[in-house]
Amino acid sequence: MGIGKGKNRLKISDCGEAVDVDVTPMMNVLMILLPVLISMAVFTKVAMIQFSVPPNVGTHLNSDNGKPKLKMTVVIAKEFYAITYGEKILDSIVSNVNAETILSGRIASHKSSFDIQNEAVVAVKDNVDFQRMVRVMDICRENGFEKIGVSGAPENPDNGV
Amino acid sequence: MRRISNTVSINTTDAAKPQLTSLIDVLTVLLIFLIHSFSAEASDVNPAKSVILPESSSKTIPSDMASVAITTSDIQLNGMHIVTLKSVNALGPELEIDMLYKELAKIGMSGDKKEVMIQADKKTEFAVVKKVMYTCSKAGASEYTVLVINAE
Repeated sequence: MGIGKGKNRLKISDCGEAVDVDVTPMMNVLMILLPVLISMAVFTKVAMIQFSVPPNVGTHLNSDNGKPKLKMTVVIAKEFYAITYGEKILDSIVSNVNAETILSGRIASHKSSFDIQNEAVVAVKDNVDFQRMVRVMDICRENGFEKIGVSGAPENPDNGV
Repeated sequence: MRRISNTVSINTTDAAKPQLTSLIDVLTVLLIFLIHSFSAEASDVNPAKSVILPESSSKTIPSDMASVAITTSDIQLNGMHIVTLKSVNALGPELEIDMLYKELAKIGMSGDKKEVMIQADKKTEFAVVKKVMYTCSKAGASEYTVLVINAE
């Protein structure tokens, strides 16, 4: 299977030189196209995440007593994450490199036990970075909690969270 | 006056041709990269200067709305300086930021949803974000969005 065999043989001009492709028109097109594309290029894609303050996350009421139904709450503190449901603490994870991966897995494993499976509340302590809050909101969305409410977490709650 | 033809000798039969192959290669790679980064759904929202937005997996394209930016030094409303971060921290446990509330009341909340976009630096502490959210809520905001950088 050689380049120089049969009908597909590379044609060489009679004078013995390889035929040069005239690239000037292509260069002209590229020179016009490149400045246009550079001026329109998006180097950083911005996006947005919607959230509400907790009372607006949903209007689900318990038909028995008219009280709002419980939603999963993820508490973010500098040292740990906690998954709570009502007054119960379902899980707590110490902050480290893998904490967010573990948190995602724990949320997925507890999800089936929640009455409302598409709404979550993220409760954040005052000294937590905004980046961590956004990351936890992402984790909640990735696990199917489309509606997210953000609230402040009390600094010294009675239940220890 | 000497003519150019006398000073520059060009072999008309065998003029030296520039080697364009490598240039074409570079330009083709650049073209592919630029076409890849080209976005047909352009967004009107420009992040505030001196704000490093947090990274997220969200792909929702932001729309135009009232925007509160929390930079490392101050709080801005639609690009206009409102109050320094120092004075916000000095409020202590008080949640309402008076200056921001007055400016929000001036512009009013437009639309049915009364949305506010928060552009906060990724290192901003939640204590500041909470105060901004409380003030916006008092001014009539009911829905919030945070501006992020799509990391994917």
